Amino acid sequence: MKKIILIISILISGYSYSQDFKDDISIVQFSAGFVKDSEIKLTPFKVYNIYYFKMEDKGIIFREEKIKYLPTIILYHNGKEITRVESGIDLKLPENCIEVINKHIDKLIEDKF
Amino acid sequence: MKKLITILLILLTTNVNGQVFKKIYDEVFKYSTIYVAGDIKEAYESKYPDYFIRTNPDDLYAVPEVIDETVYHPFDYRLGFGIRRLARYDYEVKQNYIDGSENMVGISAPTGAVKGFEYLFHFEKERERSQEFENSRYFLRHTGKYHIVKIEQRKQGNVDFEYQSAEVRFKLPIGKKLSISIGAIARSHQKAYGYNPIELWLNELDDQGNPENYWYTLGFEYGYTDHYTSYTDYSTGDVFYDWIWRDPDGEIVAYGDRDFRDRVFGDLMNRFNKEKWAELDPFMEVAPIIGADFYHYRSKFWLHAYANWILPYHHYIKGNEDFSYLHRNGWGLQGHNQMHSEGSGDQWSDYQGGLIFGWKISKTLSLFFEGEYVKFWDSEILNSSVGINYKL
Repeated sequence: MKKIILIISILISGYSYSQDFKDDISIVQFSAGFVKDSEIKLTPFKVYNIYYFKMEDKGIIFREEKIKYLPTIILYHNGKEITRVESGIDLKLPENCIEVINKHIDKLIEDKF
Repeated sequence: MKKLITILLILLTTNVNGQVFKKIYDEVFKYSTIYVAGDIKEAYESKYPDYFIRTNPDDLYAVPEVIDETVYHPFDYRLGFGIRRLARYDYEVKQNYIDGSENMVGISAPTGAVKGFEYLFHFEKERERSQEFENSRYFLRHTGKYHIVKIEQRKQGNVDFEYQSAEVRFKLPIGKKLSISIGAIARSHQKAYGYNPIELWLNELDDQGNPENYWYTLGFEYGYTDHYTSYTDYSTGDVFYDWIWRDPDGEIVAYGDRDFRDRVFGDLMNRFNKEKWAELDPFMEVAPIIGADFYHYRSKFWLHAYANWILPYHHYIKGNEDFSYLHRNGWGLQGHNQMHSEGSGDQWSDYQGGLIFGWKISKTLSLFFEGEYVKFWDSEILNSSVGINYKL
């Protein structure tokens, strides 16, 4: 019994630590120091999980998540990517970025009821 | 200028009101469902019909009439209506419609599947085996990052169950998946646990150690009478004596004390207890509560564990404390032993815990377990299911 509990704990903790930023409803901004001015504040989503990742610090995650443009905002739900909003050539996120993410969140929440 | 200011003010207030209403709508009513639903089922039918024979009063041995006395119930039904805003956990299957009979994990777990308001106001009428009942469930909870406030009322007519509770907790998130909470809960219970009036009445002794109330005197209390009679066995000539019992209408109900005890006395005991229990007001008590909630979900593996521990510091705020659960051990052959004047009675702990676990090991193999254990006062409920699925 102890072994089973241990295995389950390891499985959960190991898996969850590596993917923590994708739990439940999470909004992640992938950015870098040189595009700091193009970043947006994720405070409209503060009731959910929000993360700001810098390429300088979390390069591996950037590779794993195949980030091509900076900044990029990705909405995750229970480990799955729901949508991503990418900046253009001008390194600016679309103006309706918050609105787009909100729409997707709305759908996710609606599905829970 | 004045007109302009007035118009601007009207526009501004309308806009503010609109925003306020939108906020209220979004936080309270959005995603809620108003429903009216019911079901109709075939009523219970006994496996074999019941018959009795009616004999000729003037000739006991004439051919009797066979009467079918099987009870044929009309169909069972349930008709309810309500409004619901309860979020499901991701592992719970989404239903296409709501009929009010759903039992969602979110109601039992300390925290909900979403933050904010969740509620259920449900009322229904049901008929089961010809008897009609009214059931209701009212539930309101607000969950925030650092708080849980919940009130609940439940009435289940067919089992004569009524329960109310209100709780306020401070919630402490530990990471994104685990939270612990601490607060206070007020709960009601109808039953006087540990107090058995008939046992006390029957076991009461006088100064000489003899029963104060002989068991059969309960019959007299309810208008039954007995008279002494003799029976003669014509084969052997033996004569024996016993008591014939009549009900308050004068009808013979038993041809001896044993007969009376076996067939009539049980109902009288229940009647006596019901009457005594009905004299007591419902109880309400307050106690501290600690809870924990862990939730992890991925489509291939999920684990939801929750627990509530109601600590042994119960304080009754309604109902006669002598008959409360604190004094469940305070009743003996000599009646109540005045525990309350010597101390605070026997404290106790109540628990509630649930574990839901699912693991899709491969495309074909999966494991699952769902269980909940509740121990409130004298009641213990355990529901669980476990299984392995293998798809061919």
